[in-house]
Amino acid sequence: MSKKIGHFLLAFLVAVIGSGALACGRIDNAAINPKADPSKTQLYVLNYNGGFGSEWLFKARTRFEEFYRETSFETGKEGVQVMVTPTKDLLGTVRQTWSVRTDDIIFHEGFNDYSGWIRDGLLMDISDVVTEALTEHGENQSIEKKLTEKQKTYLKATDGKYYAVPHYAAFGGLVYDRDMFDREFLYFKKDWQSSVTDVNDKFQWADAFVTDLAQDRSAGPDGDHGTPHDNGLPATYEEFFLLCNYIADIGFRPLTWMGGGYEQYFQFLMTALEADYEGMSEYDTVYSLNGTANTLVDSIAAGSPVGTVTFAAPLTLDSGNALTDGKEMYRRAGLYYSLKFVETVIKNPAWYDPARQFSTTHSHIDAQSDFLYSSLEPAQKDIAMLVESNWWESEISPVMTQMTERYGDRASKYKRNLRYMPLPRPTQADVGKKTTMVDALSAYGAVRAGLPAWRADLAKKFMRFVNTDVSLKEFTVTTNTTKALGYALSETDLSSMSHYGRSVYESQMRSDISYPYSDNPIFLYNADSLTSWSTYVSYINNQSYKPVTALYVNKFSAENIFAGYYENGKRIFASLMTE
Amino acid sequence: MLKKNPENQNILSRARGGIKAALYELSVRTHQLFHKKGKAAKKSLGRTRRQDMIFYALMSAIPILHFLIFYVAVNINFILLSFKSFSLAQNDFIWAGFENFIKVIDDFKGNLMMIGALKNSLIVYAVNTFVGFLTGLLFAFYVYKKMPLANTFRLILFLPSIIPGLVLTMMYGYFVDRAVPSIVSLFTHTDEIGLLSAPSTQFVTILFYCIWTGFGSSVLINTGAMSGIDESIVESAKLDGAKLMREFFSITLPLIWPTLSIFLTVGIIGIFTSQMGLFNFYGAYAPNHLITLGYYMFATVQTALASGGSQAGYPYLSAMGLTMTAIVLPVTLFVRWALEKFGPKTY
Repeated sequence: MSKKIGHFLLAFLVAVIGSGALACGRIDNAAINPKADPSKTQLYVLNYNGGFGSEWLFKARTRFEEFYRETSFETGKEGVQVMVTPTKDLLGTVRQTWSVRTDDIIFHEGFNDYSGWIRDGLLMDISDVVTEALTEHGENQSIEKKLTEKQKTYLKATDGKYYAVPHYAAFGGLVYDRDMFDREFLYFKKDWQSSVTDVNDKFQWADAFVTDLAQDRSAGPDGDHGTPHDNGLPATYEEFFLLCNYIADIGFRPLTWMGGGYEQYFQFLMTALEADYEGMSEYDTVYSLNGTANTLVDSIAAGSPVGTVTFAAPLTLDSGNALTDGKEMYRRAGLYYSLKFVETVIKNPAWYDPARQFSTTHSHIDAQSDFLYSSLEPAQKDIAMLVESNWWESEISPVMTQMTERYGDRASKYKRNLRYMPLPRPTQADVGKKTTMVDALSAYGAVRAGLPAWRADLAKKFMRFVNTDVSLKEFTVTTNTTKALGYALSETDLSSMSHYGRSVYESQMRSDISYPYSDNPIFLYNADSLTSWSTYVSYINNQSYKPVTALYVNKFSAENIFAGYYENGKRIFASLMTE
Repeated sequence: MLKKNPENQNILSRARGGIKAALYELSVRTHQLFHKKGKAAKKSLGRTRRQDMIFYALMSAIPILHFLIFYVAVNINFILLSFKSFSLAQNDFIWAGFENFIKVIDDFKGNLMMIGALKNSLIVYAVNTFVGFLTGLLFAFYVYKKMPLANTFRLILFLPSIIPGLVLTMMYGYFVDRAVPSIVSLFTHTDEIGLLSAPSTQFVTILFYCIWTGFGSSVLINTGAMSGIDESIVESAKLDGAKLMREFFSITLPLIWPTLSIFLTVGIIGIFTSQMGLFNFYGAYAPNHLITLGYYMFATVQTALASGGSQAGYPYLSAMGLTMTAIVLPVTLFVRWALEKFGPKTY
């Protein structure tokens, strides 16, 4: 009898696990693509189904199919069907299997080695797609006109031709719950410094903040009282830390982030902090290796909140000294300040949940859900800010829909006042500088090389279609994020977006946008080594460390890790490939 | 003398017998095919036999092709790659001699992370062998002797082996990072940090995971080997007054030694490939003090894939793999020789 029970249990387990595994791996293709219609031409599109999702593509598909409903691309066929393959495969995996895939078009992120794709002959020359005006869609301008000069030179750097079009823009940073900020008066009052003599004295913390929403607030990171979007928000790291102390002191939780990916998510934040401090010109020099670096650190006197940095003499890089002196870019003050910011956060466990924030079981969805649910569930501590990137709201959208069903309209993303936070600056001297945002994911759309002429024509038409102003706006309204091209949203478009989506768009409009790449051959040939992510390795005592892990696990100081960045920079520049 | 009841043979023994018979049949057929080349022999090959041969050829073609492509070709490519480097001018791999090997050796000499990874790999092997393997062996004996709840324990212990690795990692992670701190908090009334989150407990927690997940298959295979022991020998020993301890050391251990020696030998090979499930726990961001050599290589490739798939770093990893093979091969052969020479024998 016990044997039978054992067999039954085993069969049950196998069935449960097996069905679970099947469910995990199964893509409900019928819901994604209709059955192939033999009377129409099929176009196959691979889409990275990460945080930005595929909804935007489904919408574009519907319009594209309608637009070309009566056009024949193949003999005996009329109209087109766009077959979408949403994938979670990383770009490297796609690249390795590219020759056996059937996708005509790819939308993916992580094209750090864009020039490598071209050198390997994997992408089609789509210069005509990019440079010819989109007249068939009622636009007088070309896609090229929507690109920045830097994008143009980079995309054409290999041989003067375009092989890809920028896809979505990805910005790391902080999300804040403006409803909570309003409710708890978490805004700095104007000239708060005159009321607080010691920021470490907890009995003075409350004196730094407004007591009603009508009270005058500080000017925020842009230093301008006339721009209300950031008034009262922390302008410096010191203010940010004071804000966190105050939030924790009044019984709330200042911050959350993905515990299972703390290194990655903090690196996104550090990239944003670093670029915002450096400014576009300085930040671009890191990748172009051509220009003057004014923020190189000579020495640091440790201290709070960011210590005292003594700057080295400016260094001018050009083709003559880029290979020998490029390593100096690894001792920019922006790298140190961003480390110091994260170090201070980690050193203050009262600002976060120590049991979750470094746990491998705490996913990005957990972090996003914690943040969203915290203000709706009375039993939970309200969380004021989330370390995330701009795609988070698109990612958590299904959960927000469930929340709306459960809590009513107030939980909807269109009602909740969640916003992209203008980042604080290391010191008071940096307040007022123009904001710089960095689009760090290198996401592109491209067409497979070697397609037959008729198929190439169809694929190119689709690439043009998804880059019309109508499509770009539709993408933004659908995902509440932006494409990395220049286009303006109307008031109608903005009114159909969430508060968060609008705040990201408005931040972009106010900022310089930088990209962590350049057309310098040294960069192109060594993109993997010189990408922004490779900066975040610290070489200390003959050992490579990831910076946030080194702060949390190894208890190294920000100053030590910063010194290790420079050592790593020396190693990188000693092993760069040249022709 | 007691005869073995076929029903009592476990699945493993039966499967092993089936594979042996199939391999023998295949070798006979192959021999017949290649050694009867004369006309008379050809004529004697009847239609049925020809059909059999076609069947065998077709059946073996796929695994042989698979072997040639995914083992032979891959390994030839891997060996060649370790002597190459990526040339930008030619946009291809070019010969680099021993450049990659020199870099690997330099890294092992000077890079503390690599030395730490080597140390961790050895610790995992040692703990798996001396704790996991020995307790697994004792537990297999417990099950083999049909002690109370033996089958229940066997089922419970084998469960980790049939649950997908990623699911198991997740379950374990939730248990040690959420359940355990919650339970401890009930007693201490303080907020406790999970065992995988706190740097001081991470390594031991993952080491325990390795032992736990390897335990089931070890018990199952050892039990299978033990159940193949002729019960008349055990009966005879009992009649001579042998107790359990004597039975274990003087009968069971010598008779299942071939199985155990395979276990130990295969374990040596795994020293440089075991990644302790780290990628499942931490992705490509495992803290330095946890990493093993197997994880380092796997995570490096994964990182390259995530950043667009440049293959420029592969030659170095190939050289590292080959260097490790060069180290592990003589060690493996030595261990096998030592186990055969000095292990318990049956007379």
